[in-house]
Amino acid sequence: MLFNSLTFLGFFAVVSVLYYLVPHGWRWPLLLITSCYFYFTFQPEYLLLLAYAAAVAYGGGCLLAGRQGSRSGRMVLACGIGAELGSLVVFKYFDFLAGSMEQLSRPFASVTLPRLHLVLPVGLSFFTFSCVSYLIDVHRGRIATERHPGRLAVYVSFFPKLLAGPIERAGPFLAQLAVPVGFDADRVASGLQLMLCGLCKKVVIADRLAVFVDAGFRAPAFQSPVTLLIATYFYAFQIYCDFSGYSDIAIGAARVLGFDLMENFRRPYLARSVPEFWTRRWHLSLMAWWRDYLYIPMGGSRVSTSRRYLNVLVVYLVSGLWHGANWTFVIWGGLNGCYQIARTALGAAPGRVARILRLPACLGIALSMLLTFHLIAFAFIFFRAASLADAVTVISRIGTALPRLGALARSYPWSGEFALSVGLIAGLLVAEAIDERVGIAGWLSRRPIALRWGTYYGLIAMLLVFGVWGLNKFVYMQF
Amino acid sequence: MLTELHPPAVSRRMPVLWRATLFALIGLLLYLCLYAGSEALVYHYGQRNRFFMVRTAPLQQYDYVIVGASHAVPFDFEDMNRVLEQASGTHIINLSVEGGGILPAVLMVDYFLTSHTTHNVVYFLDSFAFNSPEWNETRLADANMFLRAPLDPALVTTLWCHPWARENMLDYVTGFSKINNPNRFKADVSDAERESFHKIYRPIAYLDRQRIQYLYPSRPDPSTVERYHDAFVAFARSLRTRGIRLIVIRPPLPQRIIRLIPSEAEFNAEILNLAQELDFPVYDFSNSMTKDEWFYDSDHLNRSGVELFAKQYLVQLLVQYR
Repeated sequence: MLFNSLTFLGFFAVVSVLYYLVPHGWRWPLLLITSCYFYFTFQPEYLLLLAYAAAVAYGGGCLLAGRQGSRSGRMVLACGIGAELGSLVVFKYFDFLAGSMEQLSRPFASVTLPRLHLVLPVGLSFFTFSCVSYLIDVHRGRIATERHPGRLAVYVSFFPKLLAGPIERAGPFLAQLAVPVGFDADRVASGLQLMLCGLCKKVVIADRLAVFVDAGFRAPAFQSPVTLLIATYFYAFQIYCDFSGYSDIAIGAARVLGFDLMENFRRPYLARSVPEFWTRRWHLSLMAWWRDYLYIPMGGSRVSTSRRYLNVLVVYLVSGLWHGANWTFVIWGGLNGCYQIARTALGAAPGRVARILRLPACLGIALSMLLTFHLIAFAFIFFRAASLADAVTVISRIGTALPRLGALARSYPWSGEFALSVGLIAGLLVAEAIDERVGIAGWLSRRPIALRWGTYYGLIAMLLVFGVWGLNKFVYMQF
Repeated sequence: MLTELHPPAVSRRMPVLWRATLFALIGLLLYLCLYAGSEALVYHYGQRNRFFMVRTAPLQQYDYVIVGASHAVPFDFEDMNRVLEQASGTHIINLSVEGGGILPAVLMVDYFLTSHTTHNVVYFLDSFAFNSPEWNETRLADANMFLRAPLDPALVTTLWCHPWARENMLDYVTGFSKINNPNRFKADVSDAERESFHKIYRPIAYLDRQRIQYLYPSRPDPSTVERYHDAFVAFARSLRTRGIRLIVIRPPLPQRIIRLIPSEAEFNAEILNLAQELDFPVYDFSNSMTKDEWFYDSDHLNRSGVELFAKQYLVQLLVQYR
C-alpha cells in the first residue's frame, strides 16, 4: 500500500475518521492494528521482524530502568543494540559481507561463503534505528522507560513513518501519544496540504524524472554522454522529490492524526556548502541520529583536528553503508565525508577569495550554491549506479565527452516531456527560493480564501493532469 | 515547504463542515471541467483506440469484426482496413488489441454489439492469449486501453456485465486515464504504425528468444489455461446464439518464431477439436508467410507482408464469407 496509491488514500481516510471517533484510550490499539495492517500489505512475513524489534526495545527499556549509567545498564544497552542491529546485519548485510570477505580472501585462498538470499524487509533500517535511539535515550536518562508495550509498539510501527522515516525520537512521540488530541480542522487541513505537496513532488516530478534517470543508468556503457548527463542532473532532483515527497506525506499524515514529526528536509539545493547541506537541510532526522548517537560519542568536534576529521569520515562512511549493502554507497558516503572535511579545512578561504575577486554577494552565493549542488549531484552518481563499474562508466563517458557536448546535444531526442521536466524543476526551485525568504505556508495562510483554495485546486489538477501514476515505489523504501 | 503549521486567517468564520463541503463541491465542478476538456481532446485526437472506433463507427451493418492480438493489428495500420474493404467489397472494423487475449476480444465484441451488428467475427488467434492473465485481466486494467475511450453508458454496462472487467469501471467512469493521458495532444497512432510498419526485419536470434520469453514467460498454470479456454468456448457459443459466424485464423508467423513457441502443436490440435465441437472454421496461415522481408519486427507483418497476405489469402476468405 504505497503512499501514492488510491488504496492508501482510502485506508488513511478510514483510519483518520476512526481515530477521531474513538475515545483516547482506544487510539493506541487502533494505530497499532492499522500500522500492522499497513506493514502486512507489503511483506506479511516480516511483521514478525517488526514485532521482534519492538519487543527487544520494550524488554531492553524495562531492563534499563533504574540501571542508567551503571555497568549492568551498559551491558543491557549493548545487548539491546546488538539484538536490534543483529537483524539488520542478517537481513541487509550478510550477503554483502560474505561477498566482500570472499573477494578480500581471493589472493590467498579460494573461499566460498554461504549466502542467505533474504528479501530485504521494507523499512528495516528505519524502525531499527528508532528502536536503537529509544534504548540509548532510556540509558542516558533522557526519557523514562515506556512501561506500556502497546504504546512503544505504536512508536516503532506508526505507519506514516514506518517505511522511510522521519526517524522520530521516542521522547516527543510518546509524549504526544499520551495526550488526548481533539479534532482541529486547521491542523487537519495543514496536514492534508502537506500531503498534497508531497504527493505532487513524488508523482508529478520524481516519477517523471525517473524515466530519464532509468534510461541513463540502465546500461550506461551504451548511453550517449548527453543522456548520462541528463540522468545525473535529474537524479539529484528525482531523489530529492521522491524522498522529501515521502517525508511530506508522512509528516502530513501524522499531523492529521495529531502528531508532530521531525522536519526532514529544508530546501536542500539552496545550501551554500556541503556541511550546510547535510547538517541543516537534507535528511535531517538521520543526520541528527548520527550526530547524537555516533559523532558526539566518538568525541564530536571537541577533539584534535585530525581526530575530528576522522570522526566525520567515519560518520559518512557508516551513513553510506546504512543506505545499502554495496560499495557504491560506501564511496558515496566517503565522498560526502571528504567534501565536508575539505570545506571545514578551507575555513574562511572561499569568502576571502570572493572578496579578492570583488564578486557581488549575490553572485558569490549563487556560485557556492551551484558548486554545492554539483558536488552533491556528482556523489549521487555512486548512489544511483548499480555497481562501481557503472558509476565509473557514467563519470568517464561524461568527462571525456565534455568538450563535444554541444555537438552531441544536437542529436539528443529533446522531447516535450523533457521540457516539462525542466520546467517543473525550475518551478520547484523558484517556489523553494520564495519559501526560503517568506515562508510560503505562512504567506498563503494570510491570503484570501480564493487564492488559497486556488493553489490547492491547482496542485490537485497538476496531480491529475501531469502525475505519473505507475505506482512507483519510493527510493528510500529499499533502505 | 508547508512544514510549519499556519492556521488560515479567514477560515474560522466559516463552519468546518460547510467549508469542507464547499471545497469538495467546487473541486467536483473543476473536475467535471477537466473531464469535459479531456473528452473533447479524445474526440479531437482519437483514431485507433478501439473503444473510440466503436463509439464513432457509422451505424451500419458490418460484415466483419476483426479481433485478436498484435498480429491482427497491422491490418488496421495506415489505410490497410480501407484497402481490405475495397478489395473484398465488405465493411470491416478491426478491434484487435496489442497484447490482447481472449478477454479483451470478448469485451470488444460485446461492446461493439451494443450499438452495431455484424455477420462475422474473425479471430486472429494466438496461443499466448490463453496462457496468462498478463494478456487478459491485466491487459484490460492497463490504463492505455482507456486513454481515449469516450464516455458511453453502453461501455459502462458492458464492463459491468463481465466480472473480470469490473475493476476497470472506476478508472473509466471517472475518466482518470483520459485526464492523465500524457499524449493527450498527440495523434492516436502507435509507435509501430508510425515508425516501423515499412521496415524490414533483420533476424536476431537473441531478440526472437526475448520476444518468446515475453509472450510465454513461464509454463502456464493448467487452471488458468482452462479458464481462458472456457471463456473462448462461451464466446463462440454466444456468437452462435446471436447468429454471428466465428472464423478463426492462425496468423502468419516466421518459421524461426514458430519453432520457439512452446506447445504450439498441442494448441493447434485443441483448437481443431473445438472447431469441430462448436462448428466454426479454422484457417491456419501460420506457415503462409515465410520470408523475413515481410515482417517489420520479429513476428509482425510489415506493409508489404500485409498487402501480400491480403491479396493471397485474406481477401478471398472475406469474399467467401461475405
